[in-house]
Amino acid sequence: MSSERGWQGQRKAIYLGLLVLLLLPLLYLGQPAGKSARDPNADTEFAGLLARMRADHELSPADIGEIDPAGATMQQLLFGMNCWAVSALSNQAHEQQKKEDWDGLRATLEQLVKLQPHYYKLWDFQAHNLSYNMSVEFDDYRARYKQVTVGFNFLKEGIALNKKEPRLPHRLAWYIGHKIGRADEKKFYRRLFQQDWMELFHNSDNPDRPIEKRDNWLVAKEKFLKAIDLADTLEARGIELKTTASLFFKEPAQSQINFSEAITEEGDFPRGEAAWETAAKDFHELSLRKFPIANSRQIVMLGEYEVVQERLAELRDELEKLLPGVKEKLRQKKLDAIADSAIRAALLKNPAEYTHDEYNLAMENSDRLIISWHELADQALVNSAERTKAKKLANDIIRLEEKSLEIDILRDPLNYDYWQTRVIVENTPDMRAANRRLFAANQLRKDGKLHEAVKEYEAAFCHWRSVLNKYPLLRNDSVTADEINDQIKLYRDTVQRALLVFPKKFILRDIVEIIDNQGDLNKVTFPPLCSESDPDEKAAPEVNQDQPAATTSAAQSDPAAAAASQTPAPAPPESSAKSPPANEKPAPATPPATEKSPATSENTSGKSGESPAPATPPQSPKFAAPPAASVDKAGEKSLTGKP
Amino acid sequence: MVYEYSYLPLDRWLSSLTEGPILYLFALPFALVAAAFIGMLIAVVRLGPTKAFEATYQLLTGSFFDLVGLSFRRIYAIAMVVVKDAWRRRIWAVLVIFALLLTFFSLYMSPNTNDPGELYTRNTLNIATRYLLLIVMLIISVFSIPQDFKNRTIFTIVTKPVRTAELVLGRLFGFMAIGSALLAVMGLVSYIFLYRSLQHTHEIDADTLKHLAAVPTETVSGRTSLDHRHFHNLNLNPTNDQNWTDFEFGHRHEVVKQPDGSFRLLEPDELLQARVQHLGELRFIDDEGNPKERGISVGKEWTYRSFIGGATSAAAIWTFTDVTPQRYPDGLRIEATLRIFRTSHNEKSIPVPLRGSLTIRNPVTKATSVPIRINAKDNVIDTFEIPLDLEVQQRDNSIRPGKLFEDFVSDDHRLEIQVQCNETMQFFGMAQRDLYLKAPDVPYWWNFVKALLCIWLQMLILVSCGVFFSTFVSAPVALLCTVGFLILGMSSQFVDDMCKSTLFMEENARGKTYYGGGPLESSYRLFTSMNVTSPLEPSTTTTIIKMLDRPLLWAIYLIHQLIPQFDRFNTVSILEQGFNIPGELVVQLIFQACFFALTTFLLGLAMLRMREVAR
Repeated sequence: MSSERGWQGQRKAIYLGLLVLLLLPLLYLGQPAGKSARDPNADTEFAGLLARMRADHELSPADIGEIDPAGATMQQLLFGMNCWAVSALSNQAHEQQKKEDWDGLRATLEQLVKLQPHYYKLWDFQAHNLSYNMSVEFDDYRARYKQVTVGFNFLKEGIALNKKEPRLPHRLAWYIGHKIGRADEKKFYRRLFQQDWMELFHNSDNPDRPIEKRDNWLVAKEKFLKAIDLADTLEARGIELKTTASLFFKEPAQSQINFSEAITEEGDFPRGEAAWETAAKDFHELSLRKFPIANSRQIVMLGEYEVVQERLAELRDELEKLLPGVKEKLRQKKLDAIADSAIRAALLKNPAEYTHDEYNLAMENSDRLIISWHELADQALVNSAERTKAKKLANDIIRLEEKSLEIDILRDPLNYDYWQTRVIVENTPDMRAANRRLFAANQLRKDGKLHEAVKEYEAAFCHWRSVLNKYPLLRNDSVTADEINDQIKLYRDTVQRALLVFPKKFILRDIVEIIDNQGDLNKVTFPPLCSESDPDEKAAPEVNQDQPAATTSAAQSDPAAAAASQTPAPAPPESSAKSPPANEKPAPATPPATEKSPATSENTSGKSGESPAPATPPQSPKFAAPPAASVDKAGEKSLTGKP
Repeated sequence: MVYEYSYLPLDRWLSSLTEGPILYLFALPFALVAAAFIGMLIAVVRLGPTKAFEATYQLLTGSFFDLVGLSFRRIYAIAMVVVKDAWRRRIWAVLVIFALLLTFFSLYMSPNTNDPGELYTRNTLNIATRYLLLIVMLIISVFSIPQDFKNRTIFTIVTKPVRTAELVLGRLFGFMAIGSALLAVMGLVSYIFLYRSLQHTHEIDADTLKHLAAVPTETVSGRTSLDHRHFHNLNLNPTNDQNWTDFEFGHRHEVVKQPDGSFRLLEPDELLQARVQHLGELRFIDDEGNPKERGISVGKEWTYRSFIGGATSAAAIWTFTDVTPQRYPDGLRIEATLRIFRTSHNEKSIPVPLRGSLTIRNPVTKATSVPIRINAKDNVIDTFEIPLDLEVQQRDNSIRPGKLFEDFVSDDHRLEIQVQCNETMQFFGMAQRDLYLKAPDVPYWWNFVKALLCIWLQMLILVSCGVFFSTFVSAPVALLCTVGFLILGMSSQFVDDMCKSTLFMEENARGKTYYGGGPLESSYRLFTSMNVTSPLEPSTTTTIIKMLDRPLLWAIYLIHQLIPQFDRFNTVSILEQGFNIPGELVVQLIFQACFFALTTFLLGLAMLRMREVAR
């Protein structure tokens, strides 16, 4: 009995010893941070391993963001059952949203984020949910706006709690910009946002923000810049950005562009033009931003693509000059090595004349004729200076080609080429004039001054023609095509309401065709209109001096024919019957000396780089149809003369 | 949250064979006979037929004499023991938790929500009071009798001249006394908390006031000071003694003129109120003029409301009964909350409210009023005053003067109100409770008391259930059974729909079909990460699962039929929406709860008597 008791005592002592032993590493690991007598600023001098690691990786709540005592208490009280609570609350939030219990949803989300204060996706998803999904459940646009700001303010709470998460301010900026500036209700939202209606945003965000800066796009830009600052700070400390860098850094410039677009659309031209200048500067800054390439030591800039391309062309040229005719010989050699005559024939054939089988054959074997730069350099004499130089050139070319590809990969998702062109174009006098004219036309249209509106539209389209001719990239872009097409629709409507005829050979018919053909440029006839080189276009105003009245009466007597004649496509027989005979080619137009139209001044403006807005709008309707035959002829012309 | 359950008017409920007291009166003896029969069958298996019959006879007669000889003094004594025991176990600690919960709620509840009254009421009464109280009562009610058995204190009690029925009733009354005391304290604190949290006023911010007209005595506009995290805009007409602020955050303030010419804001109006609804029955006409029970679906997941299309014959018609001049001497006041669903909108239509019309109609003579144009305010209660003199639109579209009660109310005091949407491709959405005739408000405190009473009834059901189970199974099993009952009761609508959908392949009234099968099939899908809509592969396993699922579902369905719909008792959702909890609903709930308590008491008595110690 006593021996048993003794064993029990020993066993307890062993347990106690083991407990103490286990406590030692625990103490080592978990010792809290304390102040050092030598360096009071160093919190971790006497800290345990966990405290030091927390400090090194800045993982303590104070390092991550503001401390939320309520959230921390709630997490502790749940005794590790947070995941259950989160799951239950998420279900509850879903149910409340389903049952349109908006206040309940907000309260549930408040609890949810207290349990997961550092979970980026939760903040982002629910802020989006509040601003986008919840707001549309209200019919009154003011109530909608109120809900939109609920999402913004929710995300601001998340930003305060996550000071090392640049994606959150970035998302906030995105929502401010796009929800206010792109919604169907944007006209109203932008006004409410600027007025800070019910003090729902600015007063709590930055009460000192001046009224002219209270534009949603400018606030978005401000937030984007803050996010970028934070990302740069973190990057300097080795913390990587967890999103696509090029898209992340593009946004301030994009917001400036959107701001410029918005206020130009609203008719604030002095500010709009200044804004476009700023946009050009911002875009230039973006082009100079350095982007490290993943898994490579290379750093590239978006704006150096053209320089790289230029240098590449020089190096290729230099290498080919160093080894004159070698490339052709090498190609011939490779071609001779192909035994199958069918493949050889396919590779030699003009691609335009391929049959289906030949096309496939050529595609499958196309790389058999590819000559790499190293291959080419190897053709130089062994051990000659020429070979050394050729090798060096080949290496340089390959390196630059890789760089060019990397830049291209970065630029492509940004639609960089388009926006680069756009900011340049918007700062040209032609584009500025086009914007002012279009705005004036729309105002006149609203005021019921239809004939004046038509004139303004035509003048604006003339400027647009000039811009599109100078910058074909814009013409091929669907965004621009859509924007112009919206105005063309208004123009068409105005023309109809003014009892005029929509011109058969419309100056921007390529845009109409792009839209009609859903962006298939192969089906589009590009008219070099409004240029001195096109006598048909110049003829248009003269032909149409009396056309409106004639067509109007035709429209009154035969609505079907009139409707047919209003289509932009080549005139059908009914309408051509009313046109002058096909062999009567109209005389070239001579614009009135005092009214030099922007169309005729296009070349001049192209040279000088400036195109002053026409003092007087062109005669209406300026671009009405010449005879049907000449339309076809012009169509052929414009095809062959495709810019 | 909207109270989604419908209930019958008191007169119809009293005479109803499917829902009213008649059903319960038939059901009670049936339940007792069924229980006795099942008990006897079990006894036959265990003891043989003769002994089984004898035991059943003894049980029934013994229980009967127990009931006949009930002594309220002894019941009171046992109840007091329960209360003292609970006090000894520091039941008051619940109140501390309650206080902590209220403190915690105030951290994340914001008064600048759309309707702070709703949010505060729900969190205070529904979560803090209702859930906490029910959890506590659930635990103490199921552990008491089994603990007596475990501690053998039951032997001491049964040696006293105490009947088994008194033992069960004493427990029940004791627990209810504790619960009632807790509920009273919690209710009082909740009420004070609500008022203290929501009552506020504002100052008029003189700096913001500006004249709308050139004349200084004309209306001035401005805003109030920022208090309670919000402010109001106001238009003040100095010549009026009474002005109002705008309606924001679920309330508005009356602005009164002081003798010195300054203005003062009163306490918030419409924040904590109890609107009395005179509800009608809703039916629909579709766009081809055919009568329908429901409107169309616009694709919303929640099917509480249905919709009518604009610029068609589609209409929602509410029929009201008991519309008398005595009840509405000054005419009718209609309040309506119409939901709006637009299929298109543009810059011009965005700031314009959706137009519709409201027509008063006599259900017998079909005399129709001139349509009253309405500009629907989505998610907002809109008010329409119907005067006593109302024009009648005749069949030839001519108009003649008419009288509300003579022309539009039938001899049996019925009246119809028809709502139509006037804009093409746009929709109005509504449910029965969205349009009602407004009667004078009742005091908020009285409505609050009715909500507390409904919580008390839930507590009664739960405690009865807990005591019943604890009479024949151990405490943990009793807890599990009661929780199971609670879950079934709380999700009664879902269980009903699910069982009907799977067992009878029928769609419920809300047009919802449930997928995923019974408990076994659901578990199988859960473990194999299979979605609920894909059919199971034909195999032996599937056949077995399907075969076993049916009896399980039947069991769930039958048990569910025995349990009161717990969510129906949650009238806090009516209170929080600012509506009066109808007295007829409260009466029906009281009856249901008391009936359930009585049934479980009788069954519990029988169960306890079957145990050796209590005979």
